[in-house]
Amino acid sequence: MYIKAQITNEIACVLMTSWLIFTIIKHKSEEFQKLEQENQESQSKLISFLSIMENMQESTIITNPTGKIVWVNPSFTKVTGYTIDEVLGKNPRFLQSGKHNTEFYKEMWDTVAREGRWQGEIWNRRKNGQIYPEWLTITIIRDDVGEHLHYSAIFQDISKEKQAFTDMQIASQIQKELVPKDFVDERMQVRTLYRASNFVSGDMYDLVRIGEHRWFGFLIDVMGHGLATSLQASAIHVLFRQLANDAIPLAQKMQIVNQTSISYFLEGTFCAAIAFEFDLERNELTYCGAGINNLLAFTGKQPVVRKAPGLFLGIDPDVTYEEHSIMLEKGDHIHFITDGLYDLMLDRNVSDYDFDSLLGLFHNLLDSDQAFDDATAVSMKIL
Amino acid sequence: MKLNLSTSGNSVTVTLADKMYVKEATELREKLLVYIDSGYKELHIDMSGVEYIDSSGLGVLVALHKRTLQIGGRVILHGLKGSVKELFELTRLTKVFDIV
Repeated sequence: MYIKAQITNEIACVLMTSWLIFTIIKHKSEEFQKLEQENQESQSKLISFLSIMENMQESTIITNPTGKIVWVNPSFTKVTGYTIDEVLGKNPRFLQSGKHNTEFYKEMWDTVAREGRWQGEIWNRRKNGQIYPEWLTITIIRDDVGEHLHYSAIFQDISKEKQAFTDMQIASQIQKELVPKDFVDERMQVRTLYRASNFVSGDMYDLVRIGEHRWFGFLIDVMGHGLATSLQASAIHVLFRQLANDAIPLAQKMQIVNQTSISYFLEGTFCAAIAFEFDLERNELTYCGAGINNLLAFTGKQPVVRKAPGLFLGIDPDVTYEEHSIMLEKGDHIHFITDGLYDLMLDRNVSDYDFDSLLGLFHNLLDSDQAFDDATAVSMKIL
Repeated sequence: MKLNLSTSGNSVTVTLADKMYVKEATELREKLLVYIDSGYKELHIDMSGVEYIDSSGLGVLVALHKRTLQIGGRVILHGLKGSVKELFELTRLTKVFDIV
């Protein structure tokens, strides 16, 4: 019986051992398969990432931790003119333009060391010697245990964007020079406010002397913002200026401008305007509205907000306009404003405001975070 | 702003509500231009619920009007009232749109 039990035990041990060995082999085999599968997935991901970096529009430099280039993408060659063979093993400082001082680079690399990343605008030099601005991001690449593997530098050539920005700044300066500034003469004081929502304004205004004590003026507000509207506003400005000295009624001048400018307004665009003539000998203001349908008249009589009915320019070539007049006295003041300012005033009661306090209100409204549109005000006080 | 849109034949009807500022005007323009480009020629806009409209809102209505004119269509405004109706009269847009 004891021998039978021993044999049974031996057989059980062999069976148990065989089972264990089988289980271990099976488990290891599954592990191996899993590793192989993960390896294949990693390789697949690597190939995908490499393809993306090869084809991306942004230029890329990869260096080792000592700063030597180990790889660049085709976009790098396109932007800088250097091939990968020409730059491998080199430090990217050969790209420096000479525009930045030592402090700039020190601050950049200190930030990379401290935060793992730096981003900003930098000027570099192409192979042909041309310097150009780029938007650069430098990042430290680490492995999963934090070991520093590489630096990556990804950048975009922003020459065109910077040029466009510079051009817009110049256009803004030119536009401001085209409009008259504040002045005082023996009969009246004129204060102007002219603010573009984004570099250039779709508003325009002018005030032209057409006689010893006679003035012709207008405000224009092309629907929308930006460069296109400023071009349209400039064209309408010329049309009004050409008619300034013509001895025809104001309403007729507005009609001519409307008919001539219809073709300027593509798609759904149009223009609001108001024109006026000031006769300081007779102390009479005549005005004609075409979409700018309100003016503020502080004459001691109510209402302060005077209506100037009339259709926008650029919608109907056959529309006719109407004129209205106000008699003025010493101390009276008139304000022509575009809707970028008028809409901010809402239903505020301004009847007790004097000339200077109203101008202060205009400035405060435009400095608020509610202001988003081009805004213009031409304010005149009778002396 | 809530836009309630429905179609019938070659007409599209939209009911506006509340106030129309820049954001609402942009949304209206984008939605209705799609319908016009799809061939809908009559735009019926119910303004009876609109309490306020600024220059952006007027601009969108004018833009839609000009676009529908190009395809031989029209914009019909319904239910103008209060300050919105006064604004349309002041700007003489009552002579541009069909108003019922």
